[in-house]
Amino acid sequence: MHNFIDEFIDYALSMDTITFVRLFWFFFLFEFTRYFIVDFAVLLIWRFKQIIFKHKWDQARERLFAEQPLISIIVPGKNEGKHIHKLTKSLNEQTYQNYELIIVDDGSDDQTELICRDLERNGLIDLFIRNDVRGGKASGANTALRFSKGEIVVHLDADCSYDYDAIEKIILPFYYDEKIGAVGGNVQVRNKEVSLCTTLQAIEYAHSIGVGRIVTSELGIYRVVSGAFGAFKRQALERVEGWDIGPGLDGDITVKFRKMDYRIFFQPEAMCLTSAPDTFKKLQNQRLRWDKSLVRFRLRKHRDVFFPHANFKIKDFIAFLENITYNLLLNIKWYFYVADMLINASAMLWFIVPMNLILYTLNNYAKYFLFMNFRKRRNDHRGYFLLIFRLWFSTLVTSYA
Amino acid sequence: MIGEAKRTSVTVQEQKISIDNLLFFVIEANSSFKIEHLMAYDGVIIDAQDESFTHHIIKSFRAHRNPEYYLKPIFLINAGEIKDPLIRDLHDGILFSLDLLPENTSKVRDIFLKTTHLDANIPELNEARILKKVFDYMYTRDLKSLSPVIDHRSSVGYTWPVISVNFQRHEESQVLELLEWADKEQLLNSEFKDRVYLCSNCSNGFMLYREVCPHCNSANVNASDIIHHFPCAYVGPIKDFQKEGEHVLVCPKCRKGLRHIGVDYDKPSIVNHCNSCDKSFQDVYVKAKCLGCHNDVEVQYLISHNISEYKIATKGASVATGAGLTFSGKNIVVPGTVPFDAFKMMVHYQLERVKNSPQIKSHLLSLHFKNIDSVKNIIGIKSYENLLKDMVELMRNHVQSSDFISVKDYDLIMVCLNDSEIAEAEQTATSIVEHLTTMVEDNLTGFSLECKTNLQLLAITLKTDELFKAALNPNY
Ligand SMILES: [Zn+2]
Ligand SMILES: [Zn+2]
Ligand SMILES: [Zn+2]
Repeated sequence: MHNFIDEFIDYALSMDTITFVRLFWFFFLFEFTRYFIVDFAVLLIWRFKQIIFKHKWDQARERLFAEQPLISIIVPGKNEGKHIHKLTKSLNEQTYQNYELIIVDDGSDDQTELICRDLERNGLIDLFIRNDVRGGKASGANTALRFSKGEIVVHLDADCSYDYDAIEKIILPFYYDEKIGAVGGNVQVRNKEVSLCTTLQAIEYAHSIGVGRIVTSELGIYRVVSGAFGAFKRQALERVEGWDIGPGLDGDITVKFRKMDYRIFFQPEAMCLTSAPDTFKKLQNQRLRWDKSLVRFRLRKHRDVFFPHANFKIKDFIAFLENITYNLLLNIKWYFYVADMLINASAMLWFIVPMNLILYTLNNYAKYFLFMNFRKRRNDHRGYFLLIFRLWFSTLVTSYA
Repeated sequence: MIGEAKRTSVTVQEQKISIDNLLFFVIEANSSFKIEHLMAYDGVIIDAQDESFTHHIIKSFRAHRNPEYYLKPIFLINAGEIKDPLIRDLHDGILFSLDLLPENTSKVRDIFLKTTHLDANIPELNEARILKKVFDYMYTRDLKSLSPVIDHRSSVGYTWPVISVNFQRHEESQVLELLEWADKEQLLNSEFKDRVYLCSNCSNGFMLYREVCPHCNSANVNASDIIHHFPCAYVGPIKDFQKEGEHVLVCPKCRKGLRHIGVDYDKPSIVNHCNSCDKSFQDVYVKAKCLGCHNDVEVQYLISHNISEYKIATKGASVATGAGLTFSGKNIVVPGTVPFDAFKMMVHYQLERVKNSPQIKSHLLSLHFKNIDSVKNIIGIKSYENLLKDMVELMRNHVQSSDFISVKDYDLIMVCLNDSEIAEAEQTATSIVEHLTTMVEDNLTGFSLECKTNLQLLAITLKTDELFKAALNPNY
């Protein structure tokens, strides 16, 4: 063992830079450049803009509270009755109160109808619509949309919980910039201490949402407004006549918004906590669902963005490339890299594998401590990084996810 | 038939018929007279051609305060099909001809015989008097039960003629209350027949029911099918899909025509729309507008009552023959009080507490209302119970919230004054009596409440039984 470490260090020191980059091109090209250098630069710009535009944000808030627009909070779902009372209570605590709450029960087979009717009678729900037959997520949201009256429609999940100012924060961007058509909230993991699986997801969410979405939003290529927490301009929603069917509900509508020239904005201040799957098996199922939606979303429905015509916008194109690269093709490239190493550097695998782990680990540490300053609730995750074991796992999970 | 009639001596003179020493009076339809003139007759025969006249005469007899009238044997002649439940239940026989009267004389004699068994004392209290009448009538007629009969003229939709005849028709809910009360007192036993929902304001059972908007109470509400178009997930009321002049339904989002329910579209639910306030909702409220007082309430706030057949109980049967009718008051439910048994137990525990820590001083106060019977007789049980509730509410304002109150009887209320010094307790007792007297006098002009108080310290040396022996005795 001791010999191996000595040999490993000697070998690393004797290697010239070009060979090193050649052997670890995957890391340098994607992980380091895209997810470290670019992210860091954008985060700096973002922070800088936050400071210089603080006055504009304050004005937006003043205008919001002066106008007090009615907003519609819509919550479609199946068998969510047990969560609804808690949700109404947490909404009562919100700093923004001019809202109507619409719950759509999409064919529940439990006590949901009874519970919600009761809450409706007691004035805790403004409108409860029960569908006996399940119609799907999109139709549930569309039902609520059709009967809502607010200028802004906020889409929530019944089993998530929200910060006391989350509603205020998620509608604020509409007053900051007229061109903003949809705002995504900051979804983080609530049950992070339950199992290793949820801990890793908490880290992943913190990275990909808490930081990643600030970056994509800043670059103008943010695309997925979370179904768990998103706000939409009613005008825009009506122009596209609501959500479309399919698993890619969240992504679809924002593409349509972009085509209408609306900006999609990520609001890290609007905090929402969700329960992550607590076993890897459940996680895998969830990810499979997400991947299916991604393929459909990218390649079938919006093929037109690949081919320049009236709808073409260079930013959309980049957004697509970005996502395809880092969500779908990334895996292929990863395999390509593995193949490359096996064929061209098979003799050095003893060095390449541990070195990759070290690079990823160091990179993650660096990212963690550096980006911590940009995350909301930065201290929450500190505990999880104490175990190097977990960090390695996160490396694996993030590169495969 | 004629042969039988000849065996007895029948003499018809104008409207009087004498038979076997019994004297009957024939009341001709729509004749005008006073029934008080008929005291001396053993029975009456009503020419029942005119139903409303017959109703009027029967009611005059049966609702009378004097047993000579309310127990009078009544026969009908010329009666067609009788629809009026009051007539149907309160006569003693239908004669197809006056010649058949002799066959009914034994019935008349039987009634007379039974009448002699009756207790002649008439209770003063209105409710008690009516129940006594009912039990007298049932005894003399061998009736074992009071059956409810549907009657659109009764304010609760049902009537029990033998008892209802004593009330105006809009007062039928009082009949219901009296029957329910007699059931609780085990004078009658109830057997469920039906259920009615009465106005919480005036106890009327006649309502206009309609679906109204939960937001503004308007009945101007339209229901609409909701359509879900599968291919594009559009959801909206059917009118979104309708185009003027076209029969086909077209999706407003993807412009496709709807073809086949269950295949390309569905109707998952119905949503109502209020034309008055423009709100949408699935859950309509069903409201009932009372035809009596125009009160408009949600059906869940209507008061439900069981409609029962009431069978006479042993205790009730004995009322007729002299067991007397006492109102124990043990079933009075007064908010803010504890049942007497529980009260006794709580006082017992309080006494135990005192024994453990003698520095605690608690007092048992009992209030005897000496002349309350006359109040009951004037205003009736129900109003008296309401008065009692007001009295307890007033007392509540003068004691601590930890003190407990019990209504032992119509004329006895007890309070346990916890953790109070003697001066404090005396002060409380005085001010309670003062306020109660004033309140009762304000409500009942010319009446002055006589209230005797008894205040005892929960002393270490006392036993619970001794404590209550003194407390229950009004002359202590
Ligand atoms: Zn009424
Ligand atoms: Zn359609
Ligand atoms: Zn209305």
